[in-house]
Amino acid sequence: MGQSTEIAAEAPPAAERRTSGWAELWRKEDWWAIWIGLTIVVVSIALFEAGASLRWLAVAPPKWSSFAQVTADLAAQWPRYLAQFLFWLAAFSLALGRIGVPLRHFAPSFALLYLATYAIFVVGQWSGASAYNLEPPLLALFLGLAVANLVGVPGWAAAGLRGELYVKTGIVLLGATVPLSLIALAGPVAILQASIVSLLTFGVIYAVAVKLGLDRRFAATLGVGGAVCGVSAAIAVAGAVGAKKEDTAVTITTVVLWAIVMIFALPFVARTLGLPTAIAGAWIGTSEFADAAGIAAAQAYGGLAGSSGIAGTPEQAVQAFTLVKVVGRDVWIGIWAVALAFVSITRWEDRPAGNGPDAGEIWRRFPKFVLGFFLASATVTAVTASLSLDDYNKIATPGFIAPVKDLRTWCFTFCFLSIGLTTRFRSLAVAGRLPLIAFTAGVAVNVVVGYLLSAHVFAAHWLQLGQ
Amino acid sequence: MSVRAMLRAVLQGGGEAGCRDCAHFCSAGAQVERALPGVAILSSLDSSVWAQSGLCLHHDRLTNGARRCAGFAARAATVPQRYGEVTSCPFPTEQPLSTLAPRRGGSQP
Repeated sequence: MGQSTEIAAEAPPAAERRTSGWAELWRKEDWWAIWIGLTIVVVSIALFEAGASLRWLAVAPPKWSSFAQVTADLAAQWPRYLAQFLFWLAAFSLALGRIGVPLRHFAPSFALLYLATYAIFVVGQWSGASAYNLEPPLLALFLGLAVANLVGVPGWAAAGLRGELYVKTGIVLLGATVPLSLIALAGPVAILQASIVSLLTFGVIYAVAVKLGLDRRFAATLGVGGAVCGVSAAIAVAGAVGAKKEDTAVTITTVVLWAIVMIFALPFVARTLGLPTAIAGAWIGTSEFADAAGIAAAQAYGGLAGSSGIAGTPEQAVQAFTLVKVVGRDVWIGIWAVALAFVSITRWEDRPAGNGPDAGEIWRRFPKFVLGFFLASATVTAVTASLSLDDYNKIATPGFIAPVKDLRTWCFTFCFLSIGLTTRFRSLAVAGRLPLIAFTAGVAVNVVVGYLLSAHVFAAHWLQLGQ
Repeated sequence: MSVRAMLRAVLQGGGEAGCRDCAHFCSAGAQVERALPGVAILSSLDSSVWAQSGLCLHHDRLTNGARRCAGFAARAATVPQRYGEVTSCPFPTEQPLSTLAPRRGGSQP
């Protein structure tokens, strides 16, 4: 205590060290996803209104059947690819620099990521890709996992692997392709479906974990990891209830392993069942554990639209996923954290650390990038309000929505590669048998109930999505 | 209280009664990532959901820093910071960095 007293005497007033609340606007990657995403949307609209287009920057490899077509495209379009690379590099460097991330190795790392993304894009555009199941999201993830675990990723190369920033930016861009009317129509059902499954999944994981003798704080952390939004929910609730460090690490391992399994399993089972893309997207949104993992699964399944008897459009899979996962599950994380913090100090014994309920956390933990999704949707909806559906498809879509959609695909692929390249199984904490049993019980219930709600109870609703 | 002041209070969180100024409170990204392997795969410590959470090195737990416990010890002024956030944790001498890695299989009941 003598040392503590000495330190206390040196400490400045708390107000001098506290972060300004407004600094959140440039210190959190959620806000930067909004700034980057909305800037792209607004510039795309402004260029269209001025008679130009963002298409020049939103370059992407063309469909090809002969590799000569790829080299010809690259020879002709390399200035556009270079400009796009520099645009992404500048935007993400600005964001990460302001957040406080060291940028020394970001440029070379991001350059490698961009090249790998280009290669994945090219493979996905091959006319024979679907015959070999070379869905770009799954390919990116698989290759990333293989490199990370068989070869290894040097420390400097990891600087550009910012999967969360990329997926959040992509989701804001996704908002530009989802009309506000669609969110208003589908949102309530998405919230209802997600709430049913979230409460059920949390209840099962928590009950089984406690029954197996695990600490209640650990059980709650595991529960939200399976029920709400994966690792993000787990760390938010672990802080709110004061979970032990090693329990949180075990929860992270468990969620990551199951999320990666589900990226491959859910599209595979949905394909086996021949589910339409909208229903599969809603199911993935209900039963996948993280946004990035779910986007990978939904986009991969959307890529099957029109082949193998899969009905629907690629967009329906991603839109249904986003509505259920992001709107239906993610936005409630702050409420889960505050409610469980309250329970932890009033019902559970042992209050050793400085955690406790704080109503302000409902807002502070709110995933702000969701606001960007809504704002992008509202912006495009307002601009296109006077257009008929025919004009929307003929004028707005190619004019300023399609370029945004292509830039979104780049963002998501950056993310999928980042997930794979940062997942080094040997570096994860070893998942305990009991936590794994509890979590797996929740997964089983989640997957079955999620399927029943998506494919039967609300099937008609999801099939109408975007029609 | 003005609307601006209320907004600031909600955004900032914590307060004089919180433990974010404690010498045992660690929110430095690199060190938290070492303590929670894999946290950056499907999440991020720079995200809104992480908010102002951190590790309590005294109790070896995660905490949102909403209140102070009996073990509170004010942090030294010389701790490196950026935007008011601690960038390197002042580990107490009895808590070497090597103990940050979690034990295998989580805690036992």
